[in-house]
Amino acid sequence: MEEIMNVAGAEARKDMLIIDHLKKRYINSKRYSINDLTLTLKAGEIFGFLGQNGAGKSTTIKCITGIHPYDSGSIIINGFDMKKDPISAKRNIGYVPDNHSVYEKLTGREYINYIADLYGVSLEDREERMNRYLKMFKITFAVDRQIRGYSHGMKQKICIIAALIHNPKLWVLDEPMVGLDPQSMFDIIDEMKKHTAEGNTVFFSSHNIDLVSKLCDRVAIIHDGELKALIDLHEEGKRESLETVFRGLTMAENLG
Amino acid sequence: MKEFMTLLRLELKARFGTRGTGKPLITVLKILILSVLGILVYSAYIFGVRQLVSMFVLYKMSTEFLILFIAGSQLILVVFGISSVIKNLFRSGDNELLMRFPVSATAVFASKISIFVLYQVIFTLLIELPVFVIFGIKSMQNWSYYALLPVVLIFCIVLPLSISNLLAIPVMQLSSRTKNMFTLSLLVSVIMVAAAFAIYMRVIQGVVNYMKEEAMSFFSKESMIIVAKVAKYIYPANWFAYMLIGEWRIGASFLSLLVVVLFALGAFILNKKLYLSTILRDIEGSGATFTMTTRNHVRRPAWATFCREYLEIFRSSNYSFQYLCMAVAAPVMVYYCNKLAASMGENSIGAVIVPALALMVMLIFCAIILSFAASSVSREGDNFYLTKILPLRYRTQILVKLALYLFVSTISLLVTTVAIWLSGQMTLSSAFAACGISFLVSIAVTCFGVRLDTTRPQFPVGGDGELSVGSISTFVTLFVGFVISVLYGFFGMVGIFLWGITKTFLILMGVSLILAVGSALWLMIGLEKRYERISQR
Repeated sequence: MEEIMNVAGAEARKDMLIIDHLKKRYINSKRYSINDLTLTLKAGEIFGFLGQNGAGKSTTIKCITGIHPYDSGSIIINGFDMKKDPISAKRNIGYVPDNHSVYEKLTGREYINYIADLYGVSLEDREERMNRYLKMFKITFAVDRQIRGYSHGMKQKICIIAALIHNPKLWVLDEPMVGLDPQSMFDIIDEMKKHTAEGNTVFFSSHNIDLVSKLCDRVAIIHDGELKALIDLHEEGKRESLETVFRGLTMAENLG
Repeated sequence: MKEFMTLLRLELKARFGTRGTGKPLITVLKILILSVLGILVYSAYIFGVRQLVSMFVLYKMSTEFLILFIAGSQLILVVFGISSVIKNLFRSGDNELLMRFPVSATAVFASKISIFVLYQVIFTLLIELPVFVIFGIKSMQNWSYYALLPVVLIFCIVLPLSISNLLAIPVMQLSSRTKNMFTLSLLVSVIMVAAAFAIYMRVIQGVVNYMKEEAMSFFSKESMIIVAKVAKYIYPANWFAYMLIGEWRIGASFLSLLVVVLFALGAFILNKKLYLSTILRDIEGSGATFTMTTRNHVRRPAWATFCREYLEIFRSSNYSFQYLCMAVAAPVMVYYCNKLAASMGENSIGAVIVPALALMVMLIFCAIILSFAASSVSREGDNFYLTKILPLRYRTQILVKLALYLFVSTISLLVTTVAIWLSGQMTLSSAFAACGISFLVSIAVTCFGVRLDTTRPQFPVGGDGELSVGSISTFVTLFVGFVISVLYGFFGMVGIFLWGITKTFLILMGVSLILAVGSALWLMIGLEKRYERISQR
């Protein structure tokens, strides 16, 4: 435990994700979906990303993970530039998408093994992690079944296990709690805390302000592709006022 | 009625309303190419039918022809009808959605069956009507034949429709039970495709033989007696035929009507009683999947991707049929095509051109099999994001896919080569030279197809996560593959006459090498940037 704390302490100063003046405009779109976004995430923190539908949360996450190219700015993950060294940058990310799309013709085990192969996870590590997460999410019984027959929640859990199988430095989740039962939500929250306690970073988007206010160390509010607020929730009164601040920022913009 | 009309409009819009590419030039080009191909194929069909009818009439087997034709077309309509009924009526992607709305199952059924009837009518008018007309003219039928033709055409639409509806439910249950038996499904598909193709080519061969020597009979005397005997017992096709040609007309008309009404009534009652419950049961059972216990194991990233890509194809009945089944059945199909092409070519030009014809046939089948590669990116569908986030270069991912496609097609090509050599259609050296040329052209076609798909992938996937419509890249690749095959065939034939086979095949080998290298370079240069730009919102 002490060792973990030391690692966390040493890594705490490190910048895990640096988004610098990021701009992204979709083809055939006149406006920027992300407009000059700048953010820095530290190692060991849980970072919440709030915004209304269409605010640019998913687009930002897709740029961070390499799914979408971006027009200008830079994204550095654990020291690796997504444009200059995308393979090294991607090795440091574990991503859980909002639509929990996976290769449904494979079995759960085949899928996790495939992902583990691509990240070069050793047999010992993958067995230990796979068994641990399968037990945690209570889907050991389904791991040898074809994913096509899984429920939405089970697919989400397989996505989460696949994202964690290589113990990523940066764990990115897009609306992770959608479709999950309460126990699984608690398990993910515990895993997020454990992951950051080991010196890693969690970056997740959500519409659940209550969850974000309780769980996160810091939170960013994005609206119309622009960063509207960056809040340190450890500061006094910030957790309690988060909903009010969010409503104030997004509603004022809507009225304007 | 209002419900029905609304659903019908939705159905029509879903099928025909959103297929445009948004690029007028591509749409026009697509229509133009399709029209030319369509006219060519249809002309060949009419020509073939005319020859076939003449042959049967000449040997005084016109009634037998009519019975066999009606039976054959009814069988085709039933087979395709069953698959169409299952796909469009019972397993339509929007069934689950429609069931949530306050619309009756009858309205849903009626709207979907209307489209199916429309297809049957088009098929009957385009494929069956010309045959009946040609038959009428060639066998010099009187006015009563033409007067009763519309009635028989209606029977020809209603009967297979009813039988398809009656058989669809048991077939669906059978397919649900076997849907996870992938090897068995593939094996059955291969046997069926190869058998159907072999029968088809034998018929064509018969027509060719007839054309070569009119005095030569399509059937031997014994066969003709058997055909005449069998035709008498093919019900109800024989009643339809008797009704038209005036043989035992009243009895045949009564029995035909009775059969059609009984089957239609049976299908109506069955669907009325079981349609809704079958849909609901199928929706409920659609998640039934297989369990396969495996151990965790470590693979190299490229090999893991290779295995994953193979499993994705192998475990999809749709993709497995399009690619694996075609690759496995190709040697049989090439063998029969070669045989036919050789007999036609030998007759009109000379045996010397046979290797060039064989090469053309091999190339055509390579193009058919490898046009599948042109959907390699599009087929990722909703999982495309995974190819972007995984720490594997896009170039490596594409190369792995290329390796899989070429591996399968090369095995198919080698088996084909050995088959045509052993059957004496080509010498060993010519067969392997053709194989080498085909391999190089395969590389060129595959790289070309993948290149198109990386430039403009389409991700229209159905409810099962599979590509629901043929992509423009597949179409263009197939077309280019055909053009190359025909050009090679033509050049080969001319070249063999002018310079002999060795020099001709060496020239073609050189050209193929240039095509393969050029196509590979066209794919690989700028691939990383191009792939990075692909965006799925």
